[in-house]
Amino acid sequence: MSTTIQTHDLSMRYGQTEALHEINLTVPEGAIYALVGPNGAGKTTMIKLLMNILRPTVGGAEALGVDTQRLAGEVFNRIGYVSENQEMPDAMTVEALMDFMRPFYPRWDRELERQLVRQFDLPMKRKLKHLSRGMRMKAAFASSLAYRPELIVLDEPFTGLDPLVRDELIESLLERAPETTIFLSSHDLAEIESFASHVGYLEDGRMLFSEEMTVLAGRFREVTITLSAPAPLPPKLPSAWLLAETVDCVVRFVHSEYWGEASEREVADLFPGARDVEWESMPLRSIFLAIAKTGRTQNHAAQTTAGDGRPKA
Amino acid sequence: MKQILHIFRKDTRRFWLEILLSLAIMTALVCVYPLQWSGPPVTVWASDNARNIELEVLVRGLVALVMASWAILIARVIHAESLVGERQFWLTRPYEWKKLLAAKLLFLLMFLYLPLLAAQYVLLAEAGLASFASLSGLFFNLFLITGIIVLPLIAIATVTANFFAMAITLFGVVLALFGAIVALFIHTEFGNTAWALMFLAIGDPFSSRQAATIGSHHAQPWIALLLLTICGAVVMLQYSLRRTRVSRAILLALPVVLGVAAVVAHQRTLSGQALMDRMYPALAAGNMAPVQFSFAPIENHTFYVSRGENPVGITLPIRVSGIADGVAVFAENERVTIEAVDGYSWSTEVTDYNPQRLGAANRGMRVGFFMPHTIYDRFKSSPVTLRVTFGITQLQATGSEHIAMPTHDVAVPGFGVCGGPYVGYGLIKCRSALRKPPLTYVSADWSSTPCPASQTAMEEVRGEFWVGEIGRNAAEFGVSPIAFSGVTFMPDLNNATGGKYLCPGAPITFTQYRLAGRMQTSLVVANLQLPED
Repeated sequence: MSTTIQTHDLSMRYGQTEALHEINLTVPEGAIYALVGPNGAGKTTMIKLLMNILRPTVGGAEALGVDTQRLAGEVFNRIGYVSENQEMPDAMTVEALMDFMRPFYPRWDRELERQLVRQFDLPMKRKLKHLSRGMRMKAAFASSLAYRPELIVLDEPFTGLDPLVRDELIESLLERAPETTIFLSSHDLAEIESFASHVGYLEDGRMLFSEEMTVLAGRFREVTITLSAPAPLPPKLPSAWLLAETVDCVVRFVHSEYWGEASEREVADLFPGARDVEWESMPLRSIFLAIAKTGRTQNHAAQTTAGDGRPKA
Repeated sequence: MKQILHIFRKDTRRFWLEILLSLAIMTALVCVYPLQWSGPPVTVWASDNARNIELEVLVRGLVALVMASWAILIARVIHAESLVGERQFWLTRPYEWKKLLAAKLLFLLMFLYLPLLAAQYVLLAEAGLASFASLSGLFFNLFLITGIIVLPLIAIATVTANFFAMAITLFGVVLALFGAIVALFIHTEFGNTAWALMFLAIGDPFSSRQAATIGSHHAQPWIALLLLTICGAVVMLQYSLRRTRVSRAILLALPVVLGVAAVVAHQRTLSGQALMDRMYPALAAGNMAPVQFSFAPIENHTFYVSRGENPVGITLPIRVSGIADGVAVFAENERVTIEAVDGYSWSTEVTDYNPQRLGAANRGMRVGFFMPHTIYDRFKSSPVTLRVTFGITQLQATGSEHIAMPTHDVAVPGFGVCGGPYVGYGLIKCRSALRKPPLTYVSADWSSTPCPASQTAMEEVRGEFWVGEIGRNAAEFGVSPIAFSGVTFMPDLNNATGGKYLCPGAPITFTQYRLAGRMQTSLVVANLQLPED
């Protein structure tokens, strides 16, 4: 399967602030890739770099086989981009927007345009500046989907929208999914869990992981061990065990590298007196929370200890 | 081409109000401007000349509004696809920058340049000056307007995000320019040049073009070219790469570049002997200067020393002779050197404070200079040798036109259209296309008897005047295409001509001159004894 987006050590600094640090990412053709992470993680910067709105400090990227720093003009016939904070030509009516956009795109599908307008119930005669936020996003979607782009890039497209509008937009996206690659950013895990095929997690400008949803869901397990008597945690836990804690006879942690029997044997070796071990698969939200908490714990530890691990004076 | 027209149509639909406003202001200017010469005769420069003053204010106001409407048009059309920021809708659409830029230029061509060109042609026609030949001047003026106004405005629009930011920037530019010039004016001798350069650069877009000088607007095309190059580079950089920081840095450096250019120009124009030697080569051996100077009192020109003052003012009477018929000589630059018998010498700077315009009829002139008192004291004890070096321009008459002192518009071939009279003063107000007329000596035959009672006399006049310019550019910078030249027959304080009355209908002769050469010539006065205090 060929790749639609690929980055190589993509980095971006704003003065002293490092917004992105050596991001290496591959988005295969046909994927619905969700870039998630908390606010300020660098998602929008990443998307702007991919769309050549910003230029990277170091590294590079390709989209549709084109160096993103050369992304301009005709290649945007193949890319649809919608962003929550995009400035629209507010003085235009929806109809004028469609009329203006149409000649730019040789592959503009008039029938699809009508279908999207009907589907979104867009008021054609109303100016964009007089539309609600949801309606503006719908107009932006319609004008970005009607030419059947090969790559759809969406920056926080559903933020602040009511559930009905969000579902309408997701539905319209999924209708396009078979013929396109979708790359979208979000900080709302619930909204992407249902349809994303791939996911990448960005925090403080660093990509913590980037993989297929099924693989991700498969390798994370919430583990609960019931011991016959209270016991402290072993001094050296495997690095794949996250957020390990013990309460009386119960030990809990998140296993981030679950490989079936091998992982279960590893637990049995470390806790020979275990009466019971439960392995539960985790929803995406729990996985991210575990990762996020681990990241913050590590950051906190790094800030409060010296280089040799001793607490800072 | 499709994309260019598509964006152009979108902008036209969107900014119809701004276009209409700009056209309305231009139309108003075209309607009002001809009133300057089509009204009834008026008393010029009189304190009660309310109509003239109001008209002048109105015309200048309209020209300012024309330029403001251009700034609005440029800001609106460029900011429609703003080049500053990261959130613009068009950035991720299949715009091609060359076509986008072409669409914007097409918009300005249609709604700025074509209306301006049409308005200028109509004004030329109204002034009786329209001709096929004036087209090249019109296009040259468009080049100057592009370099000095339009492209800098476009460049500023490309590095600002919206109209408000651009307005603030323009305000800052004007304030900084004014502040810099005032500071220079107050603190350094360079101020005069700074003023001059500013007016050479921006000229008088309010349509004056009135003074009669030699090559006073030569800097305009160079400044326009410099601005065109730098601002053009910024515009290209912004449209092709959107490097706003770099572009802003270039624009911020522009005043420095202009400042360096001004310093260079200053040094070139005021570098004393170097200027003399470059502009006025020494006469080849065996060649005669077209004018002879000798130190001798003549008529009311006498040797005069303002003793008791510091510096001491010295005026030398110079007898002028040897100017052939059909030749005129401008003594524009001079330097005085005094040498004592002991070898001690002192020189003035090369000055052009009092250019002398001499013809075959002129017999005398004065050269004045100042000397520090201490130096004067050193020289006055014994005879000195005084040398005055002149940089002179030789002019040759090319032809004459004769008209009667006009009471209405009269065409003067090769010069323009002249009208009048203006009651109570010896003024003929002339207009020419796009630039000052060629250098012309205007003389009038006056009457020794009073004018007929039915006509208004202009008394106590001296019937000669130099007007126009040699080494003219194809056009001078200005929104209006009309250059006004006032031919003023000055009061004859010396009564040298013997005439007193200049009546309507009196014969007026316009003699045009061309540049025949430039050279240095010297007057040496030996054994001159400066008077004691």
